[in-house]
Amino acid sequence: MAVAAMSAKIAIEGLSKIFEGRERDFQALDNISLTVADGEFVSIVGPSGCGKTTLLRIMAGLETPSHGRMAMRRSGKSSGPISAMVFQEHSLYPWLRVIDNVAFGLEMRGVPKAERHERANVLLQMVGLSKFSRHYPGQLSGGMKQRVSIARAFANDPEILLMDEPLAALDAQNKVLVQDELLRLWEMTKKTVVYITHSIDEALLLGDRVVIMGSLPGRITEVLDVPFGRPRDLIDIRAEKAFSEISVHIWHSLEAEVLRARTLDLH
Amino acid sequence: MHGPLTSIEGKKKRKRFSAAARDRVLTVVSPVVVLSIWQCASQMGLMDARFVPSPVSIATAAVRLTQSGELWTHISISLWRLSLGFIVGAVPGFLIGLLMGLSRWARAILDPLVSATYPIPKIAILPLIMLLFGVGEASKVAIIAIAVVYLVLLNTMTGVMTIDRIYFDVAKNYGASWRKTFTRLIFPASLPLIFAGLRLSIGVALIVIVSAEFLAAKAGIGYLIWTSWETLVIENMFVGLIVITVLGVVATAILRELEQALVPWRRE
Repeated sequence: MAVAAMSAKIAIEGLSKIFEGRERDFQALDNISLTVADGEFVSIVGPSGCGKTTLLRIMAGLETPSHGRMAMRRSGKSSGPISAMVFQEHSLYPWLRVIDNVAFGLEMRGVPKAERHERANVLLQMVGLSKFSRHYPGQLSGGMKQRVSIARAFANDPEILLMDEPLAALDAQNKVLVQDELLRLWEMTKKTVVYITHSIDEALLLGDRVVIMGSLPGRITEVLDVPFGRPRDLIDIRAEKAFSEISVHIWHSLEAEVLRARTLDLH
Repeated sequence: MHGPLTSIEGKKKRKRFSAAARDRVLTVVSPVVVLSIWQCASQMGLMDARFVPSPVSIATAAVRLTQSGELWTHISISLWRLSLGFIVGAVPGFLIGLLMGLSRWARAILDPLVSATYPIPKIAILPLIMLLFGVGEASKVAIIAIAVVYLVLLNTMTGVMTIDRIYFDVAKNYGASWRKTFTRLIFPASLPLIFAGLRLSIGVALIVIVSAEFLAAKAGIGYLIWTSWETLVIENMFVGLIVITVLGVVATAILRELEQALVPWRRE
């Protein structure tokens, strides 16, 4: 335990979030405790309304917790900020060219233009979009846009990547391709990743651990270790027996949560 | 065998002569046809030349007015009033719109004033403006500025207020300073609506300047139209009408070019 605590990159303890409403308060998160190790890829899966996005926004500093605490430890391995977020769809600035979108975080940190473009170009190459650097996001497909979003986060060289269902809007084929690219980038850079998804498959395919959340109020119901090694083949892995077993297990766990939330909803 | 082949060729031919090219030709052809009919009707005495002069006599009048330098005097004075009024109206309109778009406080304080005064027909307050600014140039510039300020203000405010929340999250997450948030997010995001405000302003500004020049001016396109009517030099009146139309078209075209240069991501 002491060893685990020492290598902890993110430590969340007894965290709660209450949104104050006009008529009544809404408890989005209740007593969340979670430790993420340095270089770990943690997937968080849960039904809509379980507060997983709120949890990620708190980690990103976009919301403040009502109770409890969250700490991120710098290792000094990277030049960038402690964390960067990859948002759901439509978060690229339509008025900036692809290259300037990717270089956005660097520009905010005052990196000179030539240098940040150079770095952005490297990332664009990694996601296979070099040819599109002078395009505007509106000229790209949904899958390409999300690859640019991912490149934008990586270009900033953060220690932790926070991803909020970045691939939810993609079609099945594109999703597999971008997941693959994402994993390659992650394996190359060994960054700590917290990845939110509502897809059980995706959580299992990508994560070292899967955190299962339940709703009303949002809380962690189970944390599973994913037994597959690295690097992973996203297609072959699906054929493994363990994959279907864990996936069925998560499914039942989520189903029970959804059914429970429904009965609560009636009141 | 023959039938289907010809039909394919027919399709190809239609493609070569694109719909856009056809539209362009029609835009040129239709006014020419109308003008020709008009000219013929005048020459055959179907229209009373005292009220509706023929296109040729209007053109002659235009040449005469141009040669005497009279037309240019009117155009330049109107243009000067318009441009100055535009700037004096658009700049504060943009700044106040920005403030109201960004700050709830500013909105709560200013919105009642803006909403209450916006529906007043701008030309209705010309007497008041003349009382305040005198009968000279200042009152013309002021009335145009007042017409422009509302449209730019309201459009800028809407532009800022409708910026997607997620863009602000991105700026915050990437540690954007306030200055960068403005130059990289707020300003470019609201540009399309600012331009919409400017486009509307051109139309309104033309109405206001012509009306003001009808009533209280010693030069300008509106003055030319009005005095030509009063002295029954109808050809000159038509010249004035054409000039003001061309001014509107040219101003709109310039603004469109400017918009395409500044808002390139909106193309297509």
